[in-house]
Formats: sequence, structure tokens, C-alpha cells
Amino acid sequence: MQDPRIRIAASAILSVTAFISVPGAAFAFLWWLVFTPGITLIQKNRLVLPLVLMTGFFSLVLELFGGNGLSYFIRMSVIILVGMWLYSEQRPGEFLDTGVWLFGDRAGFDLGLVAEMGMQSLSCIIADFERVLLAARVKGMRWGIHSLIPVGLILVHGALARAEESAELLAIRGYRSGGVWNPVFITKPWDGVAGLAAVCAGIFAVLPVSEFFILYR
Amino acid sequence: MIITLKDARITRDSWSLTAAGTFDQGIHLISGDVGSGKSTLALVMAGLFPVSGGCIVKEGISSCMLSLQFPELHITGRTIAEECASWGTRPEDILVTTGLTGREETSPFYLSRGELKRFHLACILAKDYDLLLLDEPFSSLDCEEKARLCSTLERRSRGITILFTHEQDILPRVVRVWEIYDGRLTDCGRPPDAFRHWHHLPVSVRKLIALGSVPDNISRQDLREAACRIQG
Amino acid sequence: MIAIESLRWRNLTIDALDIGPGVTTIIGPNGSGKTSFLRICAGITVPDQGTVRIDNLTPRETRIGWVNEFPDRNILFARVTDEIASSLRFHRTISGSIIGEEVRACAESVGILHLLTRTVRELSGGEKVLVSLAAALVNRPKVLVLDEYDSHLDARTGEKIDRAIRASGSRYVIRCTQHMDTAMSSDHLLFFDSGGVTHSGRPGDIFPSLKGTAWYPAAWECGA
Repeated sequence: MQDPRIRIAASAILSVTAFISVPGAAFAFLWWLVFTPGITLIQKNRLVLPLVLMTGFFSLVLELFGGNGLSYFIRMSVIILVGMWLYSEQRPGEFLDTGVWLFGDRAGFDLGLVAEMGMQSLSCIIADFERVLLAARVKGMRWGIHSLIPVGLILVHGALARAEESAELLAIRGYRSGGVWNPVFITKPWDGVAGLAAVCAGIFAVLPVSEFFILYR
Repeated sequence: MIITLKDARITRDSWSLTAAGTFDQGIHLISGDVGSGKSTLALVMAGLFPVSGGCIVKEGISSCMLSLQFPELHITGRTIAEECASWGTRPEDILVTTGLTGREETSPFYLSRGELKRFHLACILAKDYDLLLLDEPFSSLDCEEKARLCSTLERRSRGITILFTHEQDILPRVVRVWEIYDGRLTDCGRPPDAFRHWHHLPVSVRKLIALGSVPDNISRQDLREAACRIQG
Repeated sequence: MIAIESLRWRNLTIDALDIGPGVTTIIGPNGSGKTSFLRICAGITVPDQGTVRIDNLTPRETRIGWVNEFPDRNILFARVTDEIASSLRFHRTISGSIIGEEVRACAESVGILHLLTRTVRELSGGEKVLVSLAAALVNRPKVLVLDEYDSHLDARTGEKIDRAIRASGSRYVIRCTQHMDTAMSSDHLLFFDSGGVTHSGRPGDIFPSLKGTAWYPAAWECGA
């Protein structure tokens, strides 16, 4: 999907759709199967399975304590899939394009900049994580639960150090608030179809099925 | 002890490198531009990255260590003392040699970049590895620390030491020079014969040769001796 | 003139120091206060005591370009063209089309016109430093501050960057390096040790007193 405006709006609608009910999650999942690379996305994004497994763990706890863990697991897993699709489709500059288009060159620029830098930070954390795993192997250490804290410390420290340096760079380069940015969008016909389908999925999720059949008769 | 690269082919996305050669005991220097693949080759020789063709053969090597370029990624201890222990070294010895006495309980993250690099190298060099791979060991060190590192490396009495570096100014005496050039690891040979084929020949060595005096090797002492022969 | 008076910050103590126009290189051991001094000159750090005046203005009132040691940490934006344009976009005083022209001109002067369509992540370490330098220069800073920018560069890229620095047009260039052959080509040299300036002058006057130490340039060892 080329147009980030439609992509972000579709992701928001589908996430809410999946969150509110299991049928909603089913509609969102169907959309995901039709309009995204599907299984290829899961193969390319190594974070998907760990996140789903983590969700599974919390769902099990919820189920054991009397909650509807299965419903939670289904809904959250679909939200993770939608989120992964949004993350993998994102291209540099798109958050700024969308932010400035929506809210102008002050608040919109600021919001877009925060989102862009957030994505960059996430990429750096992922890259650091891979290097940390490698460094642990060099030390002859085995990866396990006991490694969570030291690895977490390294990643957090790295992220904080980068944040501090980014703040200094922003200040030195004269950032106060807002900036000059000319949004550029490419919208393909299929983007519109996918966006409309997302809206429909949202409507079907909130519309009672019996009401639908009354309208049909 | 030897490590042999038998037509090893290393591929990463659209980049590839071919490497062949035998490394025996002593200090070897592998030079190359930034992005030429030195770090990846170091990972391959440490057995941490696969080859897509050929193979790596190690004979008589029972222990191997790789020092990565950025030491903060190696940190696993909450304190400097814990970090020393994680490398299997005695904190007392390391703290004295690195000038960090009294800071045992400090977090390694609070060390400056130079201090951390010095500390990291001290932990690695405290043990005797058959194969020691050092990726950019001179980065973040000041000139005095670079010179100290060169002395420490030259004092290693056994084992294979391979330096992957683009450093040109302060280097130890080496038994062999290699370089990564045009997607290939090339054996330039033993100094001073290696100087004829070495694209990354240090500027100071090049100047001495132009003045008619060929240094025996690439250390500062060799440069001084070659300079003395001119003045002499 | 950059005039420093009664400067105090952590272990850094400088009673009086003047830095003239041109390229000033700072050398010295790790922990001697070099980075602290550069950060004060760039306006990133405000000292506990003392003043730094750049032609009678404070660093924060002056246009500064900054490049630090680690190429990956000098980057705000994912695309090269956005990164170079950043300071122009933030100042909001010129239009998008003129920003585009300025970015192209700056990239050409640094020799990275061919990188404008790329993302920073796919560049080599040396190319990233060139992009950082272009981002620092696009705003035509009066003072260009570089902290061990060449630490992770090979000799060939280092020479390319030095040429770009010389051609930058910045009135003051203050840089820190551990390559003494680079320091040799400066207009002014400062040697820092234990939080203070122990030597200040032209490289030709200072380096002879450092003969026999690791700070003596390799090129001078061989009589070049």
C-alpha cells in the first residue's frame, strides 16, 4: 500500500475492529490475508512469533484466573499482525508527510518527527540486540532467562545514549518547533480498495448480524 | 597452530568476499577500507558467521577469542568487578593495569569510551588464547594507549593474533600483511617484501621508501631506524 | 577570535585561551578534557564558570556545525537528503525548493551527490561521516566542531573529509583527532592533558617537544 495516509487509517480501524470483538478480529484477519503479503510477512519479521508467544502466555494466565483468555489471544494476535504489516510497509519520511498533511508544519511536523525518530530508534534497538547476542556468544555465554536483565540494560543504555545525542543534534541544528516539509503522496487505485475494505470490516464488526439480515429482507 | 581459509566465500546481501590463505603463529595485519568486510571476515574466522563456499580449517587451536569493535555490546556485568569475572579474569589485576582501582563497584556504562575500550582489551589480553582476533582494536584509544597495546601484543609469546584494522600510524611488528581489496583477501607477504604489493601501505612507510630507506617492519621503532639510516 | 576566560567544567580548567580563525586541532590523552572543551565551544554544554565568546557572541548565539565520533549517532533522519537538509528545515526561513538546491550544492561540495537518493543505513561508515559533515555544513556555520570524527575512518576517506573541511568556508574549525599526521596540517595546535592546555601554538613549534613520545607524527619520524 503506497499511500501512508490510507495505510495508517486502515491500521487504526482494523486495530480497533480486532480489539472490540472476536468477530471483529476475524474480519480484520480476513482483510490482512487479502491485502498484505500474509505468511511472507511473518517469515520476514522475526518479532512476530515472540510477540504472539508472549501474548499467548498472558492469555493463559488470564484464562487460569477466570478471564476469557482465548478471546484475548485471538484479538491481540490480529492486532500484532496488523501492527507488523504497518511497520514493514513504512518508508522513511512517511510519518512526516502524513503529520504535516494532517496538522500543518508546526504540530504536524513535530508529531511526524517524533514518529520518524521513534522508528529509527526501534531499528537501532533491533540491530543492537543482534550484536548483543553475537557478543554473548563470543563470551561463551548461553542465552536464557538469566540474560534478560543484562541484555535489557545494554539495550536501554544504548537507546538512552542515542536519545541524548539526538537531542543535542536537534538543538545544534536549530530545532525549536515545527519545520519546512512538503508532503508528497502516491496513491494507487488498490490503496483505495484496501482502505474501503478496512472501513467495511469495521462496520461489519459493529453491525449486529441480525440487523444485517433485516436490512436484506 | 594454524588457521587456513580454503577458498572461503562470504556473502552478505549484495556484498561478497573471497578469502584464501594460511595464518601461522605471530601477529598478522589485515587492512582494508571501511566497509570492505574486515569485521565480517573476523566473525567468519571466529566461527560466528557462516561461509557460503569453501571452508575454514583450524589446526592445533583449542581456544579462540574475538574482540568486537564496540566494547559496550560485550557488557554483561552490572559492575566493573562483575564484568571482569564474566571474562574469567581477576578484577584486582585488571583494575591496576587499566588505572581503574577504586572503581570496582562502578557500572561499566559510566566509563568513558577510551576507558571502556582499554578495560575491554585488558580483560581479553589477560588470557592466553591460541587464536586472538581483534576487530579495530585501536579505535577509541589515544596515541599512548595505541603504543601500549602494540607493546602488549608484541609480548605475546605464542598463538596467532590477527588485527583487522585501518590504523596507519601506530602499529606493532607483524609477521605477515594481508589486505581486503576489490572483494578479495590478498596475502601481501612478509614485511618488507609485502610493501611492494600493499595498496594500504602507510603513508610514512611510502615516504621512507621514496627517500631510499626501506623499514624492516611497520612499527614506530622500525620507522625510526629507517629514518636514521637516511640521516645517518 | 574565540576567547576563553576562566573556564571551569568538571576536571577542565582553562584560565585564558584565544583561538584564531582557521583549523585548530586538539590532541591529548583520553580523559584530558578534549571532548568537554569541544562540547562547550559548540554550546552543547554550559560550563560551571567562565566564558567562551566567539567574535563577542556566545556559542548558542553562533551558527555551529557539529560532528562527533560515531557515524551512526550523528544521524536524525533515515534518508540522506533529509539528513543534510535538517538544519535548513528547522530554521523555517527558506522555502522547500531552495532547500533542495542548497542540499544539492552542499552534497556536491562534499563529494556525495551520488548518495542523495540513498538511506543512511545502507552507507559505509566513511560515507556516513561525509553525510554528517554535509549536514553540519549546509547551514554555513561560522564554527565547525568535530570530535574524533576520523576515529573510524580509513586513510583515504579521512583525506577526502579533510579536503572538504578545508573547503567548507567556516571561519573556525576546531577538531579533535588521534591521527598526528592530520594534526600536522592544522593552523593551530592545542595539547590537552589532565584537564588543561599544556601546549598551544603552531604544529611546527609543538611537535618537536613531543619527539620520542607516541604523539610525535609518524611522518616526522621518517623525516618527511
